[in-house]
Amino acid sequence: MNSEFLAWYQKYFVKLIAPSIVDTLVMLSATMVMAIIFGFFFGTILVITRKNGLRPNQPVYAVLNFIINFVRSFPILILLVALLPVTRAVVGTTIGVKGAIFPLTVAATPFMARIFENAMVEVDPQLIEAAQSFGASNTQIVIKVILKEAVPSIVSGTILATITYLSATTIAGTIGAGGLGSVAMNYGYHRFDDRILYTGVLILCILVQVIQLIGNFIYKCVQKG
Amino acid sequence: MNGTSIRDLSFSYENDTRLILKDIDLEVAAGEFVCLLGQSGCGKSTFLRLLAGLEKPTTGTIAVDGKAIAGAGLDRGVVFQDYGLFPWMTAGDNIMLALKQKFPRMDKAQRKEIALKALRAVGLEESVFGKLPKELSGGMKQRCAIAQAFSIDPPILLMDEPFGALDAVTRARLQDMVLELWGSQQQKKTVFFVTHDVDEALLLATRICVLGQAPGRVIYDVSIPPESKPSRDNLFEDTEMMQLRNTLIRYINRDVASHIE
Repeated sequence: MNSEFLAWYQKYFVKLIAPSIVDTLVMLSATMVMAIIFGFFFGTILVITRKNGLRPNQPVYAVLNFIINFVRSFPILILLVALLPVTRAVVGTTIGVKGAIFPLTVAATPFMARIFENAMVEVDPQLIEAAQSFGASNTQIVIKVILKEAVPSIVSGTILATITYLSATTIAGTIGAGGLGSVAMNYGYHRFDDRILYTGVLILCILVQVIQLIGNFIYKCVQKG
Repeated sequence: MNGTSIRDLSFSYENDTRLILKDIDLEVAAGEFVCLLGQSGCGKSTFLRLLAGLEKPTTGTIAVDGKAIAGAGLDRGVVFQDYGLFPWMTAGDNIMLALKQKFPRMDKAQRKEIALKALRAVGLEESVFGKLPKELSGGMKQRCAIAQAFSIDPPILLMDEPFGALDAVTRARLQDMVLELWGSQQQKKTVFFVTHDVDEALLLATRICVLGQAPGRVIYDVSIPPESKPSRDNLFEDTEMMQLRNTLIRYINRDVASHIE
């Protein structure tokens, strides 16, 4: 029993599951970093151009708002499949970790943009006016007031997005991406190997707990006062 | 110096034909303490926001020293009802930030010195310097906001119901403090003070403008010369003041009543 487990451990865990954890984390972190960068960019534009924003611009807001809703209305699996030709054109491949980061970023960016938007819209308008009365420029207001005040909401929204997109990486695993999802599906589910399937599930559960824990810790650090 | 002239000022929000303010003409000399008095919703806060440059007039102009104002600026300090202090900064840092905006070249030690002096001037201990706004009471926060406004020494001070959220005792103390601070300065600031409290206006103002309802316009404008200014103790014994008080209340209510009918 013991030696049989060791053999399984050597064959599947060390050589298959462990690298897939790394793959999943690479996919997830690359996706989230890009989504945060682009999401910040688009979210900020939404906040600035919205009605009563720092520089209202109805056409820009309407177009961006529409695009974000449009992309977000795709179920994640359909979006990944629909993007296959674009992915191939942009990164040259549709499989593996490399092929998954691009479509996952496309999916996660509008989500992050909304998180940034919602967090920044909540900022007390009086603080913005106080800054304006000191003669602060719009850039200063966005960076030093709005962003600063919105950081706790942004952090909690980002944790939410990270966990959502952890499950998205496993969905991507079913259509050619690497990572835990693909191992659990291909080696576990399709080969009736419950041990691999549930090991994958267990590791995903642990990952979610760890992400939430780290997130809560960061949230506590950035919460004002 | 620093006279403010408001000409034909009207204001309505974008995509809204309803006028909030209509044809306001006001000539305010430097050093006047002007109380803008009116029922809630009459547009007195909007008027102050226009003076602050946070909104743009639909028609008309606001000029300080003959120069039309363009947006918000450090020549006009604003004290908000909800204090307007940044919650992630200590009271001292809030004041120092305003100072840094006004005097970018001033070094930190000097800014700190001015900030501490400003805190003392509004009757706060120096230990408040290192406290976050949430650690302070409402009255203390408003004192900090006033200290902040005075520290950058703007010739014009705009106060939007600054004591509206405070209890009666604290309000009375802060009224006295503002009056003392304003009176103690050689170059008196021009103050625009929005309130719906007639007694507060009588106590503080050298001039009271009553704003009527929808659209807001000046329906009564009276100056109170310094020699007949009441004090807190004799306000209710001064027959002249009581007559003025009744007149003011009548003006405020009359316009409301005619509006309801």
